[in-house]
Amino acid sequence: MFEALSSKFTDFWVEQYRDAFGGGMSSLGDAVREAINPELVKLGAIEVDPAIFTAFGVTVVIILAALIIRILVIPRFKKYPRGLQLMLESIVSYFDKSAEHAVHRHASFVGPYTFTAALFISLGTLAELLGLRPSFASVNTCFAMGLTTFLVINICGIGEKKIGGRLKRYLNPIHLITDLSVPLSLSLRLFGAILSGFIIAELLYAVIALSFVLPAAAAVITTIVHAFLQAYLFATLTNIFVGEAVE
Amino acid sequence: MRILISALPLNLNIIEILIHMFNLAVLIVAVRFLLYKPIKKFMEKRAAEYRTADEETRKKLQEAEEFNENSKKLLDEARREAVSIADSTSASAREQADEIVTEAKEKAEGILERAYEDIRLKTEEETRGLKHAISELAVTLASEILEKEVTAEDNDKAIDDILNKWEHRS
Repeated sequence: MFEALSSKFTDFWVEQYRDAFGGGMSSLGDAVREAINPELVKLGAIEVDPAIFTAFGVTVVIILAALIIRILVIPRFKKYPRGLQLMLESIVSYFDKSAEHAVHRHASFVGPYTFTAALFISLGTLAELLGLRPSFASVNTCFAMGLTTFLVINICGIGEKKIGGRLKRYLNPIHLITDLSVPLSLSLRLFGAILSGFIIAELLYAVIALSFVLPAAAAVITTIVHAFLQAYLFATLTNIFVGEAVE
Repeated sequence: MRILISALPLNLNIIEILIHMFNLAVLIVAVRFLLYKPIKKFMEKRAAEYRTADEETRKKLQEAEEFNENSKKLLDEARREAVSIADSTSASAREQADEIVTEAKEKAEGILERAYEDIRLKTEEETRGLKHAISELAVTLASEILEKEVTAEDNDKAIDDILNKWEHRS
C-alpha cells in the first residue's frame, strides 16, 4: 500500500514536471523513489538503510566534539560566560530548566536525554546539507527514537508510581491506546517531516533547471528550519509525555 | 530473523531499530557524562557561589542596617539626654534664682523692719529727751515768771497737757 502511494506520488510529480518543462524526465521519479526507498546496504549480515551510516557518523562527530569540549573548553570556563561557553551554557540551561519544569525530580535523567535527542535530530537532519542521506529519512531511526522515548516515559512513570501504580492507569483502556500511540506519533511525525524536506530537496536537485540557487534557498526551509523545529518539537513532546507519566 | 527483517512494511527492520537504539544509548551516556553533566555542574557551582556571595552581602547589609539602627537609637538617646540635662539645668537655675530672690526679699524685709524699729526707738528716745528739755526749760521759765517755786508734779502736769494738745492738733 505504501509503495502504491509512493508510486502515485512520484507519478504526480513527473506529470507536473512534464507539464512545466514539456520533456520526459524519468530521473525525477527515480529521484523520489530513491529518496523514499533507497538501495539497502550491507552492515555485517543484514541489509540496512544507508541512513544508519549518517546516524553513526553523527554519533561519532557528537562524541568527538563532546570529548574535545570536555578536555579543552570546559576546564577554561570563565565566571562570566562568553562565546562558545555562553552558547553551551544557554543550551544546557534551556534543556535542564524545561525538564525540571515538566518532570521535576526526574530532570537529571530526562534533561540529558532530550538534550541528546535534540542534538542528534538537528545534526542528523543537517547532514543532508553535506549530501548525505539524513538519519531520519529512515523510518527505523525514527522508530528507534520513538521507542527510546517510550522507554524513558515508562522508566520515569514506574520510578514515580512503582509498577502497581503505573499498571493501575491501564484499567482505563483509553490510557493504553494513548500511551501506545506516543512512540508511533513521535516516530511518524519525525519521519514525515524530515522525509518530506528531503524529497523536496531531492526533487530540486533532480531537475537541472531548478538545481541552481533555488536549492540553497529551499534548504533553509526544508532542512535547516526542519532540523531545529523537529528537534525542539521532539524535546518538548518528550518532556510533556514524561510529565504526564509522573504527574 | 529473516521474517523480522523482510516481512514488515515501510522497510521496517527491528534489528536496525535495535542498532539505532543502542547507538542512541551510547550517545546519551557520552553526552551526559562528557558535556551535559560537567556544564551543569559548573553552572550549579557558580550559582552556589553567587548564592553564597548574595547571602553574605545580605548579611552584611543586615548588619549595616542593624548598626545604623543602633546608631540612630544611641543618637536619639543622646539627644533625649541632652534635652533632659538642659531642662533640668534650667529648672535648677530657675530654682536657685527663685531662692536667691526670695532670700534677698526676706533680707530686705528684715532690714526694713529693723530700720523701722530703729526709727521708732530713736523717735521715742528723741521725744523723751525733748520732753525732758522742754520741761526743764518750762520750769525755769515759769519760776522766773512767777517767781515762786513750781513743783515737779505741777510742771509735769502742765507739760503733759501742752503735749497732749499738740498731739491732738497734729
